[in-house]
Order: sequence, then C-alpha cells, then structure tokens
Amino acid sequence: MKNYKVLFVGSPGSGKTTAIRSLSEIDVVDTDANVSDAVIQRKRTTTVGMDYGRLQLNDNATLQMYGTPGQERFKFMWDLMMTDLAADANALILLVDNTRNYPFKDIDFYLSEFWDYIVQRHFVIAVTRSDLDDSPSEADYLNRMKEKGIFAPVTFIDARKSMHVLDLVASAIRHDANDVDWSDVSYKVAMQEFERRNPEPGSAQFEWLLRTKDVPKISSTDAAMNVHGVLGASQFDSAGKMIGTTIGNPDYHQLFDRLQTTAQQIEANDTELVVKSLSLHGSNQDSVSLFREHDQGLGLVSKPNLSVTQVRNQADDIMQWSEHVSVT
Amino acid sequence: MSQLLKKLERMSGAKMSAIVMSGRPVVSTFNAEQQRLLELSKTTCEQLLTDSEQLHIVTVEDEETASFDEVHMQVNSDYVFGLRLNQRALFISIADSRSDLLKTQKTLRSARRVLNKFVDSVIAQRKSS
Repeated sequence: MKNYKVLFVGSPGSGKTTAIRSLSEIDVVDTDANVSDAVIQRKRTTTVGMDYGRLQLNDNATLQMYGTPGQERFKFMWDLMMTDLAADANALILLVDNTRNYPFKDIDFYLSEFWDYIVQRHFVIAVTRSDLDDSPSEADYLNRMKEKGIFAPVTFIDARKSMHVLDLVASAIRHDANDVDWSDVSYKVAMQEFERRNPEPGSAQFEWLLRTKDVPKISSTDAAMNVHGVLGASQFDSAGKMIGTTIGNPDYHQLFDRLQTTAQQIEANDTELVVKSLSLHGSNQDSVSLFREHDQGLGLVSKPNLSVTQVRNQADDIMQWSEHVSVT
Repeated sequence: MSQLLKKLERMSGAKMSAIVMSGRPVVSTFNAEQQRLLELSKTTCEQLLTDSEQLHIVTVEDEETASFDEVHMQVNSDYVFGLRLNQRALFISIADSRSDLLKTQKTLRSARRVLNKFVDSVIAQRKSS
C-alpha cells in the first residue's frame, strides 16, 4: 500500500481543519478546544494538537492529510510533525486567509518557519476566504512570490468545497502519484460531498457545521480581553489617535501617548527605521506594550507572567483581524 | 569584560550588547557600523524609563518593589532589550526579532546580578583613580 502524505499549515482560521474535513472519508481526528485567546475574533474553537484525515485513492494508494495548529504557541507540534508524523510528506500546502489585514506577512512567517521542510518537497500556496475579500488578487500573490524568488503555484480555493481541496491536493502530489486515476477520485469525492450536504443531526459532520457557523463580530479590544493575562487594551489609528479602549486608568493612556510619540520621533529622524513595537516591563509590574502597523496600533496592559512572545503573538493576530483603520 | 558580554550573547541568542553608564558605553560588542543603533537604543530606553518613573504607575499589590526596569523595542528586524541595572547604568542587548525572545529575556534577566557586580567594580575603580 502506498501512502501519500500532505501537510497543511497556515494561520489560525485559515481553513486547515475545514480543508481536511471536506476531503477526508473518515471522521477527522481533531483536537479542537474552546478558544482562549485573540482567535475569538474569528471562531469559538481551535485546533490545539493536530488534525488527521484520510482518503483512499485506489486499492493500492491512500492520501493522508495532516493539519498543524495555527497558533505559534503550538510550535512544538509543528516540529513534531515535520520531524516525525509528516517527515516523509510529499507536499506542504500553505493556506493563507485573504481576510487577514496583512496576508503577505503570514506568508513570510511560514516560509521562514518551514523553509528547510519546504525546499525538500512540493509546495503550494492556497488562498482561502477570497469570497469575503478579493484583495490581494492572484496576480498580487504571484508578484510577491516572484519578488522573493520563489516560484510556487498560487491557487484560490474554498476550503469547504471538497472538489477545490481535491484539485489542490492533486496539483501538489500529481507528480509523485502517477499510479492514481484522478478522475475516479474526483467522482468518489463528488459523491461523498453530495451525501454530506444534509448530515444527520448528531453526526460528526452535523456537530462540525454547528461549531463552525459564523461567529458574531467583536472589537479588537474585546478580543484582546479574551486573552488570559491581558488586563486592558487600546486601539489606535495610523496617526496614533486612540479609537477604542477598555482601560480606565488615565496614567496608562499617558504612557501609551509617550510610547507613540517616541516611536514617531524615531521614524521622523530616520525614515529608514520602522518601530514595530515598544514596551515596558518589570518583574513585579504589569507590562505595557504598544504594537504598530502602518495603518493601526494596539496597546496592551498585561500581567508580568504573560511572556513577551505570547503578548506579541496575540497582538499580531488581533491586528490581522481588526477592522481596517482608515488613514487619517 | 567584553568576554562576559560575548558569553552572555551566546547563551541568550543576542547579536550584540553593551553596558552604558552615565550615558556612555563602558563595554560594548557593537562595531562601528552599529553605533547608531546603540545610540538610538540607549536614548530611547533611558527616556522611557525616566518618563515611566514620573508617572509611577503601580497596579500590582507590592507597591514597594513595583517599577519598570526593562524596555523592549522592535526596530525593523532588530529587537532591542534595555535593562536598567541601577540609577546610572543600563544594559543594552540586540537580538534578531525572529529569534527566541523569551529565552533572550530570561537569560538577560538572570544575568542581572553579574552585570551589577561589574558596574559596582567600575564605580569602585573610578573612585580609587
């Protein structure tokens, strides 16, 4: 029996679990747990271990699909999958959520994290959620990859549609899987999707659909307050003006003003410098951190036991999903 | 003394570091091209620590020991750690922003006592000369 393996990676909410579920013919082994961080902006449950799905391609070949957890704090699982479970994978598929504010930043991050793994196998970029936001376009992605000197296929998919995911997987492993009749597999997957359209109440598919239905929008500052250890949050526009806050103490507002002014002065004195974050810490003192993008800023007050990387990862996700701040 | 800084850099994953006393570096592994970054880090850290002291924001229970003594700043791909050693001395360290910042922070924090000893010895030397 020949096993073809594909590893799905990407930011939280980019559709890894959905893609594997839509193609797998077995009930997907997932490790979903209730969200306890900024991902609350996008969904109520998230993968904390891994996803595993399988599809029989013919009598002698099986497709095995592995999905990583999106959050960087589960990086140990990425390492485990790259070195063990999916060490012999044929392809890596990077899912990019087009509704994130800075999807190219996600690509840069995952290229850097998985580069050694990527260079040894087929690599495809699949852009999801483009039905909600069609920018950047396919041409933008291709230009960006060209600028980086990486010639990877870029395809736009709906991770909920099994035929989209099958086309994606087939394009990634077709060169290795020349013993597979893809038209037979397409027929099988199409029938599978047809049967799943009205799942039985109580079935695994039914429960999954319930869990993944659209969640109500919440503000960036409210999302920040869902992070264990975050005590307060303020959102700023591109000019550094506060546009939302959960912080009552005016001293903190004054401190954020000083951090903003310092960052702006540094950039005004040298236009080659971009200050991306500024923060103050003390071993017995709550931390005060300011994170900046060209069109928005986020201030967080957090407990001293919340690590610098935890705070930064949460801020990155919050700013990726925040409603775009217009340039003033 | 720069041997100690280099050892600390190897342990923490930092690229370069310096101890600044009364506004001047007394020991440094920054080369000539990186002086501008050192100057910027030093000025920013000193300014922010002084400003925060004036505001005296205390939100934890133990007010006596609560104060900001550490500044972090990401400029382009450099991540600056500024640790206050005492009222006159500051330790500056630069790491790559994609490196393990938690490891760097923990290593630098745990080296505070050694760094303070060095600062004390410099002060003692200056007094005797």
